[in-house]
Amino acid sequence: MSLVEIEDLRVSFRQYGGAVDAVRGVSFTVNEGESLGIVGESGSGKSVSCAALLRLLPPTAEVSATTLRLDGIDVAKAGKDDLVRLRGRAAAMIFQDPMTAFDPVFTIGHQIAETIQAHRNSSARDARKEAEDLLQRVEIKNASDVLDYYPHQLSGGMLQRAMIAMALSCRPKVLIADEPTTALDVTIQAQILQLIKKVQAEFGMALIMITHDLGVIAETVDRVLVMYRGEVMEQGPVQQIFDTPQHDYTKQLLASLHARFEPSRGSDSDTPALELKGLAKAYRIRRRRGLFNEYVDFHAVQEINLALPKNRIVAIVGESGSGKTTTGMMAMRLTDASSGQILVDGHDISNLSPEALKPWRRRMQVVFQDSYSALDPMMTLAQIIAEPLHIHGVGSPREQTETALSWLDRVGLDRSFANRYPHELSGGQRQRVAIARALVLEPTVLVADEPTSALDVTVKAQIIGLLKKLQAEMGLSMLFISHDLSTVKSLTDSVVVMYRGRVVEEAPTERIFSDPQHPYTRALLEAVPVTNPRDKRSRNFLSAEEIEARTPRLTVLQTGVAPHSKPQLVAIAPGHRVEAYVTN
Amino acid sequence: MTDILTPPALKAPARQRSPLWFAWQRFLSNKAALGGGIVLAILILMALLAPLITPVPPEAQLFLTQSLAFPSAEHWFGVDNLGRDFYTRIVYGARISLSIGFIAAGFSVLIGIPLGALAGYFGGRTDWIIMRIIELFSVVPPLLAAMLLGTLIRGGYPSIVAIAALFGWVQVCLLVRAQVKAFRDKEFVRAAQALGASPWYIIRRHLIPNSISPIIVGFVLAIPMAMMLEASLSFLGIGVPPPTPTWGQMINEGINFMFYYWHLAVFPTAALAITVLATSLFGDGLRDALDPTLKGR
Repeated sequence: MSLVEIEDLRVSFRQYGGAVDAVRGVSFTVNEGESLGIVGESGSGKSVSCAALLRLLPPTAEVSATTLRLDGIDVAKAGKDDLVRLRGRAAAMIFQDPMTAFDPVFTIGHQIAETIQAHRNSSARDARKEAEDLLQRVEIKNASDVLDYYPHQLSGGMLQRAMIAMALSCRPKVLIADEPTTALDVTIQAQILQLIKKVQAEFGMALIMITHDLGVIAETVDRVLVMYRGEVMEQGPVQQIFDTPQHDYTKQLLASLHARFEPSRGSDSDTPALELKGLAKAYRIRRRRGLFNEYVDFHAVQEINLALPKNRIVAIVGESGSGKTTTGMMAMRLTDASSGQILVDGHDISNLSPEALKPWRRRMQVVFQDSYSALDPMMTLAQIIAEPLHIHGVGSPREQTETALSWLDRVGLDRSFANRYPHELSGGQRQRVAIARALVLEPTVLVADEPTSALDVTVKAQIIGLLKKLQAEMGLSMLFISHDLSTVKSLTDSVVVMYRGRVVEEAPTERIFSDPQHPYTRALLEAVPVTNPRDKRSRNFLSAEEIEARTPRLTVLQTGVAPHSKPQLVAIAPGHRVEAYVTN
Repeated sequence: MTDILTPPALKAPARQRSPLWFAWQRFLSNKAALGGGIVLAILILMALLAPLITPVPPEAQLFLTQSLAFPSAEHWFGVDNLGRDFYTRIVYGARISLSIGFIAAGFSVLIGIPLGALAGYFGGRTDWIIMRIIELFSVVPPLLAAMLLGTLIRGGYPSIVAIAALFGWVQVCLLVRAQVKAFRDKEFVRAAQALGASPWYIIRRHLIPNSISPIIVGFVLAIPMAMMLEASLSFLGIGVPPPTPTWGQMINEGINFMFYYWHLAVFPTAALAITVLATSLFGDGLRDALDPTLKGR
């Protein structure tokens, strides 16, 4: 008998004036020890199906199913006691955002021990001992200290590990992971995925991996279920899905993994469209020391030099907190820099007053990450796109509206959208509007701050395609800030790698992917999920200390620069610079 | 490959329900608020149509012979000590109460919005100064201050409006400030900054329209406060001077006759209580409906 049996599951949500069908007739089974991946875009019903399995849906949901069994128990008929047994012992769940999955006012140890005691009769001391043991099994090194930490004291990756430890505490037979790595950096994502595979093997659990990322699927599971709009499109062994996809939607998903673009043409001009010279940002942090306050500088970005040539796309990559967004915002003069210069087309704009800066604003624009908060909810799309023209007083109101309408066309939206409000649009459509607003003034420089990280895979490919198309048409120079290396590889001309507020490596895209020099760049590349399950491998991960220790060492002869006790950026090939220690 | 990168121009989806529609549904499902709104609407209509629905002018002493008569078919709420039809006076009293409520609330909003937006958007020193002013107003009991001001400037309709607005703007200011603070760091505000928009433009075009729900709520909640203040001051004899009919005055006079002619105290008190209750319920309902985060309650 299978561990999970679902047949003809239907879920609909009641709303004012009608019901929304979230899941329409889904059937699947999971056997013991098996790992099943459910892939689909947001709203395809993948999370709702699994929440129905644990009866975690809100009361507005109506669930019906021919069979809905978990570990031999009919979930639909389960009483309160059965449910307690089901949740935790039969199945445990890991959520997307570990920050909100823990209660911020209790320590990690307390919360894990509480779960253990809720399911088993064990003393507080034993529960704590077991919690420590679990934390060690999820590879948290200082487990006994972490027990007494509060959730805010841990990083996202550490919290997700603790979350896994908590899920393991009741020895579940099936582990449901709902987008467990979506909120994490690439390097951390790879570590968490490897950890989930490891504990699955150790505890002999079944795994249901819910994700929109085919890379994650390729890395972790044996069998795949492709969902679209509440229905199962296709299911089969992972290799078969990747090699011979049957359904159009699956083909689209796979195609988006292998997007390729023409390199941008570049320009004859030597003056870069945007140049940052020694740009740095330090925040003053107040620390209390005895009776007095002590001020310490926190260097979010250390003197960074960066040139964006005309009609090129340069990527800034790095993990969260590496200073890449701060750099982009400083370049746009949305965040004040502590020192350094910003040169647009050879003119320093770093000290201009807001009035003097206004004409320059026309030449540089920005697209943000979160398309939900990027559009004013009280304005129609036509108003939003025409707003830049309005601010800069370009043309009459009628002409402004006409331009806005033509831009709706250009970003692939029908003109009938003009009088709609942002809440009526999907994430991808909003991002199209945000792009139109940024480009309507025909700027020469565009800073794109993770424009696709909140989007589904297929939509992401479309948005990237749109950006590339417009870039080529308009001869835009684009600074593409991202942590998604597969997009960076297909889209950009050169890459700048940032790590802890410093540039550690900079090279043409092809070179950085074929011949990375800095250990951090290598770690980043190593962590990119594979695009085919055949290539999956076990990985080694470097700690921060190991990355520091493995910084390349070069001699004066090799580099031609003076030796220094601190690592410095040195050129090792045309256009390829890497941070290295230079010694005699 | 190409078909997913260049999809056909997307057609606009069928109209979706707007947030306001959902707010309206939430409001309709709140029976108390709906009742309050209906009662308030009726009261407003009565005040507007007062000459049409009352038999005599409010200040005419036509029934001196029947002074202090109890309610009857002819005089629904009886006759007062000076021979005036009490029902007429109550209806005309609604004009004073409601107009003071609405005008004072309007002025509160006029003062509160710019100050709240400034404090929320600029923060720092501006915020500090405005917050200290607000604290000044929250520390002083409004009634005491109003009494002092009322006696100094000799009461009257405009001064009561001024006093009520002076104490009503604090609430609006705080609500607007909180909303602006929350929206200031949104990306569409940053996008407008990146376009070179001035702070004034951003406040006017983006932040105030997005604060519309707290503004409505602040406006509606300021109304009962102003009405209570007017009634209290008139009751104490420093409000709107007679013979203009106001409920506070009527309650004051009614108290003298309370043990013998109950109707002179009961009807104005009931009118005041019903109006204030209806407005408060309506305002609370609006707040809950416009703030989806409170939906669960």
